[in-house]
Amino acid sequence: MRSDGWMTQETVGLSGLTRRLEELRGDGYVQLTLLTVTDWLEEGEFEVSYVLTDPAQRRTVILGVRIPRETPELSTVSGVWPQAVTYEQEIHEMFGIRFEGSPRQGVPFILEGWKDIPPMRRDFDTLKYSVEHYEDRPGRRSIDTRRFVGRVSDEKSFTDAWSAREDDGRERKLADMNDGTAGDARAAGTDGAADVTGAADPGGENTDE
Amino acid sequence: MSNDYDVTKETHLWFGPQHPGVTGNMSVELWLKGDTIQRGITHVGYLHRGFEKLMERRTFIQSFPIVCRICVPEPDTNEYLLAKGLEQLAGIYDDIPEKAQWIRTLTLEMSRLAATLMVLGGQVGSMGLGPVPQWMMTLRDYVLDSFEELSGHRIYHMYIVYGGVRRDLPEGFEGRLEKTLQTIEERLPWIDRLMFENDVFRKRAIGIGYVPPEWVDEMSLSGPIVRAMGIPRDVRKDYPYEVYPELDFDVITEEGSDMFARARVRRREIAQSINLIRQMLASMPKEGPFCLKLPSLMHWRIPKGQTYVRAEASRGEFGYFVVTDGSDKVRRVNVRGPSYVHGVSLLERMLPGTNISDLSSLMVSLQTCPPEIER
Repeated sequence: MRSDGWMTQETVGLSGLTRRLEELRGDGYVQLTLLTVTDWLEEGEFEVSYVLTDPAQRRTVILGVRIPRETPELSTVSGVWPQAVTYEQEIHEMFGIRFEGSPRQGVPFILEGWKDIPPMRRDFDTLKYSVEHYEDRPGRRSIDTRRFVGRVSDEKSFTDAWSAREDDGRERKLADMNDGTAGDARAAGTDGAADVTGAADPGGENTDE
Repeated sequence: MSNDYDVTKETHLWFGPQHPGVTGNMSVELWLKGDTIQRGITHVGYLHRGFEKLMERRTFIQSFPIVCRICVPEPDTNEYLLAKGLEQLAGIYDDIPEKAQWIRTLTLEMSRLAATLMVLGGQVGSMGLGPVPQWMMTLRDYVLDSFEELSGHRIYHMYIVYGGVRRDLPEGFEGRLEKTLQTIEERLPWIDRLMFENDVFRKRAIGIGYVPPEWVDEMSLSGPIVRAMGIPRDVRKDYPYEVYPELDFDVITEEGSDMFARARVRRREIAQSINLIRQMLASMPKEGPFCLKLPSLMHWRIPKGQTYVRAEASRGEFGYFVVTDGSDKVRRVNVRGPSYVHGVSLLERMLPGTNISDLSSLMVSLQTCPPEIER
């Protein structure tokens, strides 16, 4: 038996939440280990989960409460567990759930000057946000590995690809070390070299400089 | 006439985000009178990379390179907990091969050892004693060498995977790890002399940074902070996992609940980790599979469910709240790092009355790790 026998799960309605938390606390679950939220977008609900621990009897319960996404409001538990202030502050920022009576609601925790919908909600479009806010950085001069992938076993193409690179003494030397055929490609002149480049680099030119 | 030394004048000061108190970036906004802190607010967000959100957009196997980055000194706990949470939800956790359980526990204990070495060095380093942190980082590096041999990586190992571990122990690994342990053991008496018998350290640590025991349940504290109050709480004993029940060890406690007691707990836990690693190397099964055969991880779907899993990191209780919805991605992962409580709520509660020169060492003593606060 290796599964954790110390954990139970239960759900409660919003109206019975405060009473159930008090009951559990009286029953020995005195620690609030975690306060977290799952967004069930398709069902139009948030599930707020209270992970409570009973250190004396070594057991844990996950108490879940479902609240509608349109009116996400709960009352605070920070009066009982002081560290809940941080959890509630973060959840308010990341999911937009309001904890009535909690200090620091609306005070930025991680984000600064955030104008969009709360970012941990499932309907927040991360791709759209990054496209709008971050610009493409011009690429650096690099060796495009696509030139070599699948060609290593074919020695001639490999050395051709090397020798076709722009005139760089070190790279020429490498190509010469690999095979004498590199010299042929050079002998064919610049046109020949350009052809090899085109063949060996199907993904397009490197973005140099 | 009023000047900056006038104790009736309140000074507003930003401490950080770069300072010796933490591994990472985190700032504290302070209000001082003289050099005594009146109150303070922590500010995080400098290291927010949205790990939890990223995981919701990636398949299960793609989440591994993400979770290990949540904690630099101790990534293995994150890997283990993500694997365990999803294995439990997929219903395969009970089938993990025995050898994999042993290797997982070995890895977890090695990472605890490496992280404890680092923080103990940082503890005196924040007080200006140079040699101990240098030694400690060297010793940690030897442990990282073993990790490199084991997994191919020094910092982020991505070694514990679904179904077991990524590969078997290399040939002769036990002997080389034993040699590393001996090197660490040889250096420990030096550290004792230079750190625990040092008047500077004793004067700046004994009686400083006191945490009252009644805050433990109120704020859900864990790890060396609690054990330094004489309360024997340790996830490895209280909620045994992997092969810890088969190992012989006691929960280390100290009295005093100050910085010195916490450093003592950590110093003794280094010896304990070495002992546990030796026990594991001696009794580990040599044969057998190290990973469960799983269906293609590219198309792995896990039924709907939620779980909370926990393990003892060097800083305290690490927890993962994992929710799946039947798809090939997690619905929600919430990482509960010990620093979330220790580094924010507890620190803010301890600040009033603290001398500003003790702030860095206090933050090291709470072992604050910002990436796990902001994830």
